[in-house]
Amino acid sequence: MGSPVVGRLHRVWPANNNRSGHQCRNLQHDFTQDFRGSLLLGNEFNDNASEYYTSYGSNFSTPGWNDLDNTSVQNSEYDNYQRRTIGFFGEASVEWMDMLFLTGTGRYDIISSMPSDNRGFFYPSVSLGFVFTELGALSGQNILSFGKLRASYAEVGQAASTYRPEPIFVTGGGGSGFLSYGMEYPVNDITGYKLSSILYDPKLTPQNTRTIEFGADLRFFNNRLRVDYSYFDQTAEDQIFGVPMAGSTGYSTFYTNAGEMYSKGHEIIFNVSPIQLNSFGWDISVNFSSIKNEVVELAEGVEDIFLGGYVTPNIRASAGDAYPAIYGEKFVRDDQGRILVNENSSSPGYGLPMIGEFGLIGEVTPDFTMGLGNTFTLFGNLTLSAQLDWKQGGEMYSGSNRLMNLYGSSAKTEDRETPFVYNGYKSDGSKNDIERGGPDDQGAYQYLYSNILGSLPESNIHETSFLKLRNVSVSYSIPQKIIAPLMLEKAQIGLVMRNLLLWSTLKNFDPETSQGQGNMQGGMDYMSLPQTTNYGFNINLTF
Amino acid sequence: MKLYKILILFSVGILLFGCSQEVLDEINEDQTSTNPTEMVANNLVPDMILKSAYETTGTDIAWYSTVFIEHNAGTWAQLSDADKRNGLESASLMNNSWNAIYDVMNICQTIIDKTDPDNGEEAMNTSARGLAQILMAYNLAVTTDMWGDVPYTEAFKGAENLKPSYDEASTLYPEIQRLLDEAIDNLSASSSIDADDYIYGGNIDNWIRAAYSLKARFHLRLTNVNGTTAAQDALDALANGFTSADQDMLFQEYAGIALPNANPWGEYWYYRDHNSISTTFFNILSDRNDPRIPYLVWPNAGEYVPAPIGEAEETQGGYSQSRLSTRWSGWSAPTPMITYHEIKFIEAEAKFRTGDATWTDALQTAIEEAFAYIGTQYYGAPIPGATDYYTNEVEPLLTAGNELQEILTQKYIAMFEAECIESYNDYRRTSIPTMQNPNNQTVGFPHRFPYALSEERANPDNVPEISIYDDKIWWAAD
Repeated sequence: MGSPVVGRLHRVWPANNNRSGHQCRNLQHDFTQDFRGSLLLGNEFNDNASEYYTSYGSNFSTPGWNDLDNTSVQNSEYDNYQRRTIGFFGEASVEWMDMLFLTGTGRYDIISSMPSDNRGFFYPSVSLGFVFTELGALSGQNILSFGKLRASYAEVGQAASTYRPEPIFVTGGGGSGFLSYGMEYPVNDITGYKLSSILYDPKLTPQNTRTIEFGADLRFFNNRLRVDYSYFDQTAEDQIFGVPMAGSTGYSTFYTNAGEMYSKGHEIIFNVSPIQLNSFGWDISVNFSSIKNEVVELAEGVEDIFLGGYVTPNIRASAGDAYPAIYGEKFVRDDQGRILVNENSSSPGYGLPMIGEFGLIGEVTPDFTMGLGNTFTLFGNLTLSAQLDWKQGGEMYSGSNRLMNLYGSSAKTEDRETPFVYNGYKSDGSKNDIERGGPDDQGAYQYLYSNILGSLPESNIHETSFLKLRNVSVSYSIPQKIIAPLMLEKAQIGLVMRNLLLWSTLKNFDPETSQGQGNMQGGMDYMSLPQTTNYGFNINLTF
Repeated sequence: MKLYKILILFSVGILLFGCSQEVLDEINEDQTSTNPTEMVANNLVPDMILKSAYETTGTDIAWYSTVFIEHNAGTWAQLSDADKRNGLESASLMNNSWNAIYDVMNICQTIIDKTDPDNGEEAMNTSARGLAQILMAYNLAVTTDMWGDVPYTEAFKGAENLKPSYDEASTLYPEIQRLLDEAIDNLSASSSIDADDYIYGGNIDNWIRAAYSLKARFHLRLTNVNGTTAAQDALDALANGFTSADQDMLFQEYAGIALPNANPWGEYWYYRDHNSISTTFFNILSDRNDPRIPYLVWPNAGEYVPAPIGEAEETQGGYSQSRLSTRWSGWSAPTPMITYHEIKFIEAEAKFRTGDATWTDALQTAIEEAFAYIGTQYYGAPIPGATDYYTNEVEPLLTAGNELQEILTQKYIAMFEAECIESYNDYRRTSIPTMQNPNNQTVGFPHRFPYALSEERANPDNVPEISIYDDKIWWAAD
């Protein structure tokens, strides 16, 4: 009896069949020389059908022979997915004197992956632009060479990606969070089935996002200085989400119109060219953005929405909270929010913090992000540019730091001998004075890092502000007189360096090394692929 | 312009034929063609049985129980934390097990609904209905024994009731007995079991005996509530219970030393290696010169080194470990759901409580059957020496006033590891044998599991406020 026969192989053959048609008609009419109009009408057809043929094999006999023939248990599966969208759209715009622009759009979509009676939906938009530098008094001067104000209102409808009108039956199986394999059918040549744990709301309606945006585009001194500002205010109603269900309902996830989310933000882009000489040019570009999201309300009966992660910690959207937010077990704290320590002298956790209730432990969204780019051009053929990015605020659950502390491989865990007093308080309000560690208490550090902090997600929440030198590049265009004899039209050589320097409040890792940029929005990292520093050299030759 | 007209014709064609409601409904249903929306009750039976055995009986609930009742000491990671009483109140601790057990009860409920005699689409399928009622009773009992008040009457309704209320635990016991009674009626009315039956291969009589045996187990659970009546009820049920070990309710579909489909205790050791034999269990065995020691415990470097309960070093491989779940012996052993040796122990205790002097015969048979079970299932032949052990080691301990102590201690040994959920129930009911974990005095003994995170988050208003250390289950000893 040696070790168990293990190993598995999955072979997947995806087949994707996409048929689409798009036609539109563009009509233009000049009412007068200064008053012009255009009209666009069209429709769109999109049908996407995917099929997946999968073969599974497990329990290899001969090491190194990675083929289904080498497995003793084989199984295969077929899945398909189809979705059809038909859209009709129109856009009408008029402009007057190159100064006022008014555009209205409308779109009607019909989508197969929705309940029959809620399948079609209409969404309009309207926008107005006003180039005020065309006004008589302001035109033809160079201080404010161009100025435009804009306002828009838009709605965007969105359907569910999948809708199943009736619950389906799926293949079952057996498992546990502690196990990697569990039970897989066929078991004794029999396959067992159960109802799927996912339910879809038969009253599902399309979600609707309404955005109001105001902006200004101002250019000074013949475009040497440009400021573009916009503010948006967005409400997403009837957002379609998989809502986690109480286990006692018999199901796990309910796709429904789960609630209303609100977000607003400011974005500013600032470009300036302070020096523009024949032999030297300098361009600066700054962008700033600050966005806040809030869950306004959730549908009746819905407590919160699961966006990603584990049983604990995870990323959720919860009514009244900012989102995305990180949830997990918290430190036990006193009324003043100070961390309490365990005062039971016979517990291995004596004098150490305690694991408390599950709740909100971190907010992912930063206060703002900012980018600064500088480009220098010398003698018309040498270009040097650098991009610096700054993110202020925002938090992340760092699973990688948790594991480094748990396994004692972080620098923080190097000292395992010096007696320590954990920075916390006792229940009577006094500062913790319980000393742990030292020669007679050798397990204290391990207990703290492995058994307590390792199971206390709040202790692994880190602020993820950073300043990063993201990009530095140099390029040189070889002068014409050198390359002309080589029959070259253009020749350029360059050096590009990415992710060069980082100052971060997160220890040991780059805060951008996170998983789930989608719904989880960078709120969690667990042994994610690290960011790399790149050095690149390039040559561009044009003949 | 001609091309434009063709395009218009084409688009009218798409509108007429490509996006009518019928076509789009068909497309949407087409994507589910690989998954049926209809299924007969019989085809749901295998997964109901497999999950009841593997997920309810064979995994997390048992792994925490084995440490709480000190068969094993947790010596690594999560189970070391359990041994040290660290983090046991966390709502995430048993979240997976809670969701899994409601998942399997939902399968039971689906079958029960489909076979409803009044308005079910398969009103005649009394055999599938009987099996579903037995396993609903089985899973519901585990749920309420581990968690106390739990949702039942408003559970399994999907989106129609996102926030089921919690039934009082004491009201669920009559329901468990009612389910078993109905199951017995339904199976008695059936001529055959047409579903694939992992447990008894379609033997109706064995299922009926299993139902009666479970009734006895759940009657005896209420000794602190119903007194001697509980014992008499158990004996009445046992009259129709198992009569030999070949009627044991076992799930035995494991593939041996291979993954997937190994006995879960085997895979658990192989991937996690969380547990070691506890001093409490080992001392009970060695005090009685128990001949089962070499069959249950691995020596470590030639010596038996049990892990000091509650105070063990966190180590993998530092202590003696169970021979049943480590190093391959038990990879194909069955998952026992209720056995002949268990009901003989139930008989011994119930007879003792009702003053029937033949309780010692039942106890002797129980011990002999326990030797035979471990021997046969793990080593291919009964462990020898059971009768001598009973005469020389057990009988002298059956002194006046010590009888219950020894009956339940013997049961505690017999139910080692794979049947430890019942040991956890017995200990909470009788406080036998005495637990030695020093953390029971300083932190507390976990009298129940914390409610699940999925409930705390999605059904918070209904989840009872409990302390796992202070609030005992309703049938527990004072």
